[in-house]
Amino acid sequence: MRVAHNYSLSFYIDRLCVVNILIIAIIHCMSKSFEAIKDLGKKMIGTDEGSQFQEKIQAYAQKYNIPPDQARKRVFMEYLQYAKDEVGSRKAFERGSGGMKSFEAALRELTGGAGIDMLKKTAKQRALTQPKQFVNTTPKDQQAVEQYYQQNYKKKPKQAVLRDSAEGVKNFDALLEKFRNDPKVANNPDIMSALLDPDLGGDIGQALLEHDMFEKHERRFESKMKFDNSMESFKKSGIETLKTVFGKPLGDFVGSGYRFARDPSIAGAARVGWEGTKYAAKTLTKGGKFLFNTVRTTLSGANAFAEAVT
Amino acid sequence: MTKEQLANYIDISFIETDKKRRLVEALSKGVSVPDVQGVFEDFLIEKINTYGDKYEKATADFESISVELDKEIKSQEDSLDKVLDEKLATVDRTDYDARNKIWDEYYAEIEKLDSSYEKRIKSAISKIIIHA
Repeated sequence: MRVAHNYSLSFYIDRLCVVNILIIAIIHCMSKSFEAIKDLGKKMIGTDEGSQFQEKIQAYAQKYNIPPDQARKRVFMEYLQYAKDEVGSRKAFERGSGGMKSFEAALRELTGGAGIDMLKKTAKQRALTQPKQFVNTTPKDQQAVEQYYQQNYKKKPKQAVLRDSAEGVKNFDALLEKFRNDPKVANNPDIMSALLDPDLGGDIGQALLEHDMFEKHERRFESKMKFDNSMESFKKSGIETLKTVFGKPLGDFVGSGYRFARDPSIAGAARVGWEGTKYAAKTLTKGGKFLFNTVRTTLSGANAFAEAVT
Repeated sequence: MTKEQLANYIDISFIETDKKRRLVEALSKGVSVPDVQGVFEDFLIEKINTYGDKYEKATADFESISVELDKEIKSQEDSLDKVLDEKLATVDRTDYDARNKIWDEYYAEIEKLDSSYEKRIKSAISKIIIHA
Protein backbone atom coordinates (compact mmCIF):
# COMPACT_ATOMS: atom_id res chain seq x y z
CA MET A 1 0.00 0.00 0.00
CA ARG A 2 1.39 3.36 -1.01
CA VAL A 3 1.51 6.07 1.60
CA ALA A 4 1.20 9.61 0.33
CA HIS A 5 3.57 12.09 1.94
CA ASN A 6 3.05 15.77 1.99
CA TYR A 7 6.53 17.18 2.52
CA SER A 8 7.10 20.90 2.98
CA LEU A 9 9.50 22.96 0.85
CA SER A 10 11.95 23.25 3.74
CA PHE A 11 12.13 19.45 3.87
CA TYR A 12 13.29 19.35 0.26
CA ILE A 13 15.73 22.23 0.77
CA ASP A 14 17.24 20.42 3.74
CA ARG A 15 17.63 17.25 1.70
CA LEU A 16 19.14 19.21 -1.17
CA CYS A 17 21.68 20.77 1.18
CA VAL A 18 22.70 17.37 2.48
CA VAL A 19 23.15 16.07 -1.10
CA ASN A 20 25.13 19.19 -2.01
CA ILE A 21 27.37 18.79 0.97
CA LEU A 22 27.95 15.17 0.03
CA ILE A 23 28.76 16.11 -3.57
CA ILE A 24 31.15 18.82 -2.42
CA ALA A 25 32.81 16.38 -0.06
CA ILE A 26 33.21 13.79 -2.84
CA ILE A 27 34.60 16.41 -5.26
CA HIS A 28 36.97 17.60 -2.56
CA CYS A 29 38.20 14.06 -1.95
CA MET A 30 38.53 13.45 -5.68
CA SER A 31 40.45 16.67 -6.22
CA LYS A 32 42.76 15.64 -3.38
CA SER A 33 43.22 12.31 -5.15
CA PHE A 34 43.88 14.03 -8.47
CA GLU A 35 46.47 16.21 -6.77
CA ALA A 36 48.09 13.13 -5.33
CA ILE A 37 48.07 11.42 -8.75
CA LYS A 38 49.45 14.57 -10.38
CA ASP A 39 52.21 14.74 -7.76
CA LEU A 40 53.01 11.12 -8.33
CA GLY A 41 53.12 11.68 -12.09
CA LYS A 42 55.41 14.66 -11.67
CA LYS A 43 57.61 12.64 -9.41
CA MET A 44 57.68 9.81 -11.92
CA ILE A 45 58.38 12.10 -14.84
CA GLY A 46 60.98 13.91 -12.81
CA THR A 47 62.92 10.76 -12.18
CA ASP A 48 63.69 9.95 -15.83
CA GLU A 49 67.10 10.84 -17.15
CA GLY A 50 65.84 13.59 -19.48
CA SER A 51 64.01 15.42 -16.70
CA GLN A 52 66.94 15.02 -14.39
CA PHE A 53 69.14 16.58 -17.05
CA GLN A 54 66.81 19.59 -17.33
CA GLU A 55 66.57 19.90 -13.56
CA LYS A 56 70.33 19.83 -13.24
CA ILE A 57 70.65 22.62 -15.81
CA GLN A 58 68.22 24.77 -13.82
CA ALA A 59 69.95 24.00 -10.55
CA TYR A 60 73.35 24.69 -12.08
CA ALA A 61 72.23 28.03 -13.53
CA GLN A 62 70.80 29.07 -10.17
CA LYS A 63 73.72 27.88 -8.10
CA TYR A 64 76.41 29.58 -10.20
CA ASN A 65 74.21 32.40 -11.41
CA ILE A 66 75.02 31.73 -15.06
CA PRO A 67 72.85 31.87 -18.19
CA PRO A 68 70.93 28.68 -19.09
CA ASP A 69 73.01 28.12 -22.26
CA GLN A 70 76.19 28.06 -20.27
CA ALA A 71 74.65 25.81 -17.61
CA ARG A 72 73.37 23.47 -20.33
CA LYS A 73 76.80 23.15 -21.83
CA ARG A 74 78.47 22.48 -18.47
CA VAL A 75 75.93 19.86 -17.44
CA PHE A 76 76.12 18.18 -20.86
CA MET A 77 79.91 18.04 -20.63
CA GLU A 78 79.55 16.45 -17.19
CA TYR A 79 77.24 13.81 -18.65
CA LEU A 80 79.66 13.22 -21.50
CA GLN A 81 82.53 12.82 -19.04
CA TYR A 82 80.48 10.44 -16.90
CA ALA A 83 79.74 8.18 -19.90
CA LYS A 84 83.37 8.39 -21.04
CA ASP A 85 84.70 7.52 -17.57
CA GLU A 86 82.27 4.65 -17.12
CA VAL A 87 83.04 3.06 -20.48
CA GLY A 88 86.73 3.85 -20.07
CA SER A 89 87.03 2.24 -16.66
CA ARG A 90 85.24 -0.94 -17.72
CA LYS A 91 86.59 -0.87 -21.30
CA ALA A 92 83.15 -2.11 -22.32
CA PHE A 93 79.63 -0.76 -22.70
CA GLU A 94 77.96 -2.24 -19.64
CA ARG A 95 74.37 -3.09 -20.49
CA GLY A 96 71.96 -0.64 -18.88
CA SER A 97 74.86 1.47 -17.68
CA GLY A 98 73.81 4.70 -15.99
CA GLY A 99 76.43 6.75 -17.82
CA MET A 100 75.36 5.82 -21.35
CA LYS A 101 71.67 6.08 -20.50
CA SER A 102 72.10 9.57 -19.07
CA PHE A 103 74.33 10.67 -21.93
CA GLU A 104 71.82 9.53 -24.56
CA ALA A 105 68.95 11.09 -22.60
CA ALA A 106 70.85 14.39 -22.47
CA LEU A 107 71.42 14.23 -26.22
CA ARG A 108 67.73 13.56 -26.77
CA GLU A 109 66.83 16.52 -24.59
CA LEU A 110 69.20 18.75 -26.54
CA THR A 111 68.48 17.60 -30.05
CA GLY A 112 64.85 16.51 -29.86
CA GLY A 113 63.35 13.10 -30.68
CA ALA A 114 65.07 12.53 -33.99
CA GLY A 115 68.30 14.24 -32.96
CA ILE A 116 70.21 11.09 -32.13
CA ASP A 117 69.45 9.61 -35.53
CA MET A 118 70.52 12.87 -37.13
CA LEU A 119 73.86 12.73 -35.32
CA LYS A 120 74.40 9.16 -36.51
CA LYS A 121 73.49 10.18 -40.03
CA THR A 122 75.97 13.06 -39.83
CA ALA A 123 78.66 10.59 -38.76
CA LYS A 124 77.92 8.32 -41.69
CA GLN A 125 77.94 11.19 -44.18
CA ARG A 126 81.17 12.56 -42.75
CA ALA A 127 82.79 9.13 -43.14
CA LEU A 128 82.32 9.34 -46.91
CA THR A 129 84.61 12.34 -47.22
CA GLN A 130 87.08 11.49 -44.46
CA PRO A 131 90.32 9.58 -44.88
CA LYS A 132 90.21 5.96 -43.72
CA GLN A 133 90.38 5.41 -39.99
CA PHE A 134 92.01 2.54 -38.21
CA VAL A 135 91.76 1.86 -34.54
CA ASN A 136 94.62 -0.05 -33.03
CA THR A 137 93.75 -2.10 -30.01
CA THR A 138 96.13 -3.90 -27.69
CA PRO A 139 95.62 -7.47 -26.43
CA LYS A 140 94.75 -5.84 -23.12
CA ASP A 141 91.83 -3.95 -24.71
CA GLN A 142 90.46 -7.20 -26.12
CA GLN A 143 91.03 -8.97 -22.81
CA ALA A 144 88.92 -6.32 -21.09
CA VAL A 145 86.00 -7.03 -23.43
CA GLU A 146 86.55 -10.75 -22.98
CA GLN A 147 86.43 -10.23 -19.20
CA TYR A 148 83.15 -8.34 -19.59
CA TYR A 149 81.63 -11.29 -21.45
CA GLN A 150 83.10 -13.84 -19.06
CA GLN A 151 81.67 -11.98 -16.08
CA ASN A 152 78.23 -11.63 -17.62
CA TYR A 153 77.89 -14.85 -19.60
CA LYS A 154 80.72 -17.13 -18.39
CA LYS A 155 81.70 -17.49 -22.02
CA LYS A 156 83.78 -15.52 -24.47
CA PRO A 157 82.69 -14.42 -27.93
CA LYS A 158 84.54 -15.03 -31.18
CA GLN A 159 87.82 -13.26 -31.79
CA ALA A 160 86.34 -10.99 -34.48
CA VAL A 161 83.66 -9.83 -32.05
CA LEU A 162 86.23 -9.22 -29.32
CA ARG A 163 88.37 -7.20 -31.70
CA ASP A 164 85.48 -5.20 -33.13
CA SER A 165 84.05 -4.48 -29.70
CA ALA A 166 87.43 -3.48 -28.27
CA GLU A 167 87.98 -1.17 -31.24
CA GLY A 168 84.53 0.30 -30.69
CA VAL A 169 85.21 1.03 -27.03
CA LYS A 170 88.56 2.61 -27.83
CA ASN A 171 87.09 4.66 -30.65
CA PHE A 172 84.23 5.82 -28.43
CA ASP A 173 86.69 7.06 -25.84
CA ALA A 174 88.85 8.80 -28.47
CA LEU A 175 85.85 10.48 -30.11
CA LEU A 176 84.48 11.88 -26.85
CA GLU A 177 87.96 13.04 -25.89
CA LYS A 178 88.31 14.74 -29.27
CA PHE A 179 84.92 16.41 -28.86
CA ARG A 180 85.72 17.53 -25.33
CA ASN A 181 89.03 19.14 -26.34
CA ASP A 182 87.90 20.64 -29.62
CA PRO A 183 88.39 24.43 -29.58
CA LYS A 184 85.04 24.78 -31.33
CA VAL A 185 83.43 23.28 -28.23
CA ALA A 186 85.62 25.16 -25.78
CA ASN A 187 85.00 28.52 -27.47
CA ASN A 188 81.32 28.00 -28.09
CA PRO A 189 79.10 28.73 -25.11
CA ASP A 190 76.16 27.04 -26.82
CA ILE A 191 76.41 23.25 -26.88
CA MET A 192 73.43 22.99 -29.25
CA SER A 193 75.26 24.80 -32.04
CA ALA A 194 78.38 22.69 -31.34
CA LEU A 195 76.32 19.57 -31.89
CA LEU A 196 74.99 20.98 -35.14
CA ASP A 197 78.54 21.34 -36.45
CA PRO A 198 79.00 18.42 -38.92
CA ASP A 199 82.42 17.58 -37.55
CA LEU A 200 81.56 17.74 -33.86
CA GLY A 201 78.11 16.25 -34.30
CA GLY A 202 79.77 13.57 -36.42
CA ASP A 203 82.08 12.69 -33.52
CA ILE A 204 79.16 12.21 -31.17
CA GLY A 205 77.16 10.35 -33.83
CA GLN A 206 80.11 8.06 -34.48
CA ALA A 207 80.52 7.39 -30.75
CA LEU A 208 76.84 6.42 -30.59
CA LEU A 209 77.25 4.12 -33.58
CA GLU A 210 80.13 2.37 -31.81
CA HIS A 211 77.85 1.84 -28.84
CA ASP A 212 75.14 0.43 -31.13
CA MET A 213 77.60 -1.99 -32.69
CA PHE A 214 78.83 -3.19 -29.30
CA GLU A 215 75.24 -3.82 -28.21
CA LYS A 216 74.42 -5.58 -31.45
CA HIS A 217 77.29 -8.01 -30.90
CA GLU A 218 76.14 -8.59 -27.34
CA ARG A 219 72.54 -9.25 -28.38
CA ARG A 220 73.67 -11.69 -31.06
CA PHE A 221 75.99 -13.38 -28.60
CA GLU A 222 73.13 -13.78 -26.14
CA SER A 223 70.76 -15.28 -28.69
CA LYS A 224 73.49 -17.64 -29.95
CA MET A 225 74.18 -18.71 -26.39
CA LYS A 226 70.48 -19.36 -25.83
CA PHE A 227 70.39 -21.45 -28.98
CA ASP A 228 73.48 -23.46 -27.97
CA ASN A 229 71.99 -24.06 -24.52
CA SER A 230 68.69 -25.17 -26.02
CA MET A 231 70.56 -27.64 -28.25
CA GLU A 232 72.44 -29.00 -25.25
CA SER A 233 69.15 -29.46 -23.40
CA PHE A 234 67.70 -31.14 -26.45
CA LYS A 235 70.60 -33.60 -26.61
CA LYS A 236 70.23 -34.36 -22.92
CA SER A 237 66.50 -34.90 -23.27
CA GLY A 238 67.21 -37.23 -26.21
CA ILE A 239 69.42 -39.37 -23.99
CA GLU A 240 66.77 -39.24 -21.27
CA THR A 241 64.18 -40.46 -23.79
CA LEU A 242 66.43 -43.40 -24.65
CA LYS A 243 66.73 -44.18 -20.97
CA THR A 244 62.94 -44.16 -20.68
CA VAL A 245 62.51 -46.33 -23.76
CA PHE A 246 64.85 -48.97 -22.37
CA GLY A 247 64.11 -48.53 -18.69
CA LYS A 248 60.32 -48.52 -18.78
CA PRO A 249 59.56 -52.17 -19.73
CA LEU A 250 61.28 -53.63 -16.67
CA GLY A 251 59.90 -50.88 -14.45
CA ASP A 252 56.36 -51.58 -15.66
CA PHE A 253 56.85 -55.32 -15.28
CA VAL A 254 58.08 -55.30 -11.69
CA GLY A 255 55.47 -52.65 -11.05
CA SER A 256 52.88 -55.28 -11.84
CA GLY A 257 54.09 -57.20 -8.78
CA TYR A 258 56.63 -59.67 -10.12
CA ARG A 259 59.48 -60.54 -7.73
CA PHE A 260 62.62 -62.09 -9.18
CA ALA A 261 63.16 -65.39 -7.46
CA ARG A 262 66.91 -64.92 -7.70
CA ASP A 263 66.88 -61.36 -6.33
CA PRO A 264 63.63 -59.90 -4.95
CA SER A 265 65.33 -56.53 -4.35
CA ILE A 266 65.13 -55.86 -8.10
CA ALA A 267 61.46 -54.96 -7.79
CA GLY A 268 61.98 -51.59 -6.14
CA ALA A 269 65.17 -50.70 -7.96
CA ALA A 270 63.79 -51.44 -11.41
CA ARG A 271 60.91 -49.07 -10.89
CA VAL A 272 63.35 -46.19 -11.07
CA GLY A 273 63.49 -46.42 -14.85
CA TRP A 274 66.75 -46.85 -16.64
CA GLU A 275 68.93 -46.73 -13.53
CA GLY A 276 66.86 -49.55 -12.07
CA THR A 277 67.15 -51.57 -15.25
CA LYS A 278 70.92 -51.08 -15.23
CA TYR A 279 71.00 -52.17 -11.59
CA ALA A 280 68.83 -55.20 -12.38
CA ALA A 281 71.03 -56.21 -15.27
CA LYS A 282 74.12 -55.88 -13.12
CA THR A 283 72.65 -57.76 -10.17
CA LEU A 284 70.90 -60.53 -12.04
CA THR A 285 73.61 -61.23 -14.57
CA LYS A 286 76.18 -63.70 -13.40
CA GLY A 287 79.58 -62.08 -13.16
CA GLY A 288 78.01 -58.65 -13.25
CA LYS A 289 81.20 -57.01 -14.48
CA PHE A 290 80.32 -58.22 -17.99
CA LEU A 291 77.24 -56.10 -17.83
CA PHE A 292 74.86 -56.51 -20.76
CA ASN A 293 77.03 -59.09 -22.51
CA THR A 294 76.87 -62.10 -20.28
CA VAL A 295 73.37 -63.35 -20.74
CA ARG A 296 74.43 -66.16 -23.01
CA THR A 297 76.91 -67.31 -20.39
CA THR A 298 74.06 -67.18 -17.89
CA LEU A 299 71.84 -69.23 -20.12
CA SER A 300 74.45 -71.80 -20.90
CA GLY A 301 74.93 -72.25 -17.18
CA ALA A 302 71.22 -72.88 -16.67
CA ASN A 303 69.77 -76.30 -16.08
CA ALA A 304 68.96 -78.96 -18.61
CA PHE A 305 65.42 -77.70 -18.93
CA ALA A 306 66.67 -74.32 -19.96
CA GLU A 307 68.77 -75.95 -22.65
CA ALA A 308 65.71 -77.75 -23.90
CA VAL A 309 63.54 -74.65 -23.96
CA THR A 310 66.11 -72.35 -25.53
CA MET B 1 53.96 -68.68 -6.85
CA THR B 2 51.18 -70.64 -8.51
CA LYS B 3 51.21 -71.92 -12.07
CA GLU B 4 48.49 -69.41 -13.03
CA GLN B 5 50.33 -66.49 -11.50
CA LEU B 6 53.52 -67.39 -13.34
CA ALA B 7 51.60 -67.86 -16.60
CA ASN B 8 50.13 -64.40 -16.10
CA TYR B 9 53.54 -62.84 -15.45
CA ILE B 10 54.93 -64.57 -18.52
CA ASP B 11 52.04 -63.18 -20.53
CA ILE B 12 52.51 -59.54 -19.44
CA SER B 13 56.31 -59.66 -19.50
CA PHE B 14 58.48 -57.95 -22.13
CA ILE B 15 60.12 -61.09 -23.52
CA GLU B 16 59.54 -62.24 -27.11
CA THR B 17 56.17 -63.84 -27.95
CA ASP B 18 57.77 -67.08 -29.08
CA LYS B 19 59.56 -67.49 -25.77
CA LYS B 20 56.35 -66.72 -23.88
CA ARG B 21 54.59 -69.47 -25.84
CA ARG B 22 57.31 -72.04 -25.11
CA LEU B 23 57.29 -71.23 -21.38
CA VAL B 24 53.51 -71.50 -21.12
CA GLU B 25 53.65 -74.79 -23.01
CA ALA B 26 56.27 -76.08 -20.57
CA LEU B 27 53.99 -75.14 -17.68
CA SER B 28 51.04 -76.92 -19.24
CA LYS B 29 53.19 -80.04 -19.84
CA GLY B 30 53.77 -80.22 -16.10
CA VAL B 31 57.25 -78.75 -15.72
CA SER B 32 57.57 -77.38 -12.19
CA VAL B 33 56.95 -73.71 -11.45
CA PRO B 34 60.50 -73.08 -10.08
CA ASP B 35 62.07 -74.63 -13.20
CA VAL B 36 59.94 -72.59 -15.59
CA GLN B 37 60.47 -69.48 -13.49
CA GLY B 38 64.25 -70.03 -13.63
CA VAL B 39 64.23 -70.07 -17.42
CA PHE B 40 61.71 -67.22 -17.52
CA GLU B 41 64.12 -65.10 -15.48
CA ASP B 42 66.96 -66.06 -17.82
CA PHE B 43 64.86 -64.76 -20.68
CA LEU B 44 64.07 -61.60 -18.74
CA ILE B 45 67.75 -61.07 -18.02
CA GLU B 46 68.58 -61.67 -21.66
CA LYS B 47 66.03 -59.02 -22.65
CA ILE B 48 67.28 -56.58 -20.03
CA ASN B 49 70.79 -57.06 -21.35
CA THR B 50 69.56 -56.57 -24.91
CA TYR B 51 68.02 -53.29 -23.81
CA GLY B 52 71.36 -52.38 -22.27
CA ASP B 53 73.18 -53.22 -25.48
CA LYS B 54 70.67 -51.25 -27.52
CA TYR B 55 70.82 -48.31 -25.15
CA GLU B 56 74.58 -48.27 -25.27
CA LYS B 57 74.59 -48.52 -29.05
CA ALA B 58 71.93 -45.83 -29.39
CA THR B 59 73.72 -43.39 -27.09
CA ALA B 60 77.06 -44.16 -28.76
CA ASP B 61 75.48 -43.59 -32.19
CA PHE B 62 73.93 -40.35 -31.03
CA GLU B 63 77.18 -39.24 -29.43
CA SER B 64 79.11 -39.98 -32.59
CA ILE B 65 76.57 -38.20 -34.84
CA SER B 66 76.57 -35.26 -32.46
CA VAL B 67 80.38 -35.03 -32.37
CA GLU B 68 80.57 -35.39 -36.15
CA LEU B 69 77.94 -32.70 -36.66
CA ASP B 70 79.62 -30.38 -34.15
CA LYS B 71 82.89 -30.81 -36.01
CA GLU B 72 81.26 -30.10 -39.36
CA ILE B 73 79.46 -27.00 -38.09
CA LYS B 74 82.62 -25.75 -36.36
CA SER B 75 84.54 -26.08 -39.59
CA GLN B 76 81.84 -24.18 -41.51
CA GLU B 77 81.81 -21.50 -38.82
CA ASP B 78 85.58 -21.20 -39.09
CA SER B 79 85.21 -20.62 -42.83
CA LEU B 80 82.61 -17.94 -42.18
CA ASP B 81 84.90 -16.31 -39.61
CA LYS B 82 87.71 -16.25 -42.15
CA VAL B 83 85.51 -14.61 -44.77
CA LEU B 84 84.32 -12.13 -42.16
CA ASP B 85 87.89 -11.18 -41.26
CA GLU B 86 88.77 -10.71 -44.92
CA LYS B 87 85.74 -8.53 -45.55
CA LEU B 88 86.25 -6.42 -42.42
CA ALA B 89 89.90 -5.84 -43.32
CA THR B 90 88.84 -4.03 -46.51
CA VAL B 91 86.34 -1.72 -44.83
CA ASP B 92 87.02 1.53 -43.09
CA ARG B 93 86.10 1.60 -39.43
CA THR B 94 83.86 4.64 -39.98
CA ASP B 95 81.93 3.05 -42.82
CA TYR B 96 79.19 1.90 -40.48
CA ASP B 97 76.72 0.94 -43.19
CA ALA B 98 79.25 -1.33 -44.87
CA ARG B 99 80.38 -2.82 -41.58
CA ASN B 100 76.81 -3.38 -40.45
CA LYS B 101 76.07 -5.11 -43.74
CA ILE B 102 79.08 -7.39 -43.35
CA TRP B 103 78.15 -8.29 -39.79
CA ASP B 104 74.47 -8.77 -40.67
CA GLU B 105 75.41 -11.13 -43.48
CA TYR B 106 77.74 -13.01 -41.14
CA TYR B 107 75.13 -13.35 -38.43
CA ALA B 108 72.54 -14.46 -40.99
CA GLU B 109 74.90 -17.21 -42.17
CA ILE B 110 75.48 -18.30 -38.58
CA GLU B 111 71.72 -18.46 -38.06
CA LYS B 112 71.38 -20.61 -41.19
CA LEU B 113 74.05 -22.95 -39.87
CA ASP B 114 72.32 -23.14 -36.49
CA SER B 115 69.03 -23.86 -38.12
CA SER B 116 70.53 -26.67 -40.22
CA TYR B 117 72.29 -28.02 -37.12
CA GLU B 118 69.00 -28.03 -35.22
CA LYS B 119 67.19 -29.89 -38.01
CA ARG B 120 69.92 -32.48 -38.36
CA ILE B 121 70.41 -33.15 -34.67
CA LYS B 122 66.65 -33.48 -34.15
CA SER B 123 66.33 -35.82 -37.08
CA ALA B 124 69.28 -37.90 -35.81
CA ILE B 125 67.84 -38.37 -32.32
CA SER B 126 64.37 -39.08 -33.72
CA LYS B 127 65.72 -41.80 -36.03
CA ILE B 128 67.72 -43.35 -33.21
CA ILE B 129 64.73 -43.38 -30.87
CA ILE B 130 62.44 -44.82 -33.56
CA HIS B 131 64.91 -47.56 -34.44
CA ALA B 132 65.60 -48.30 -30.80
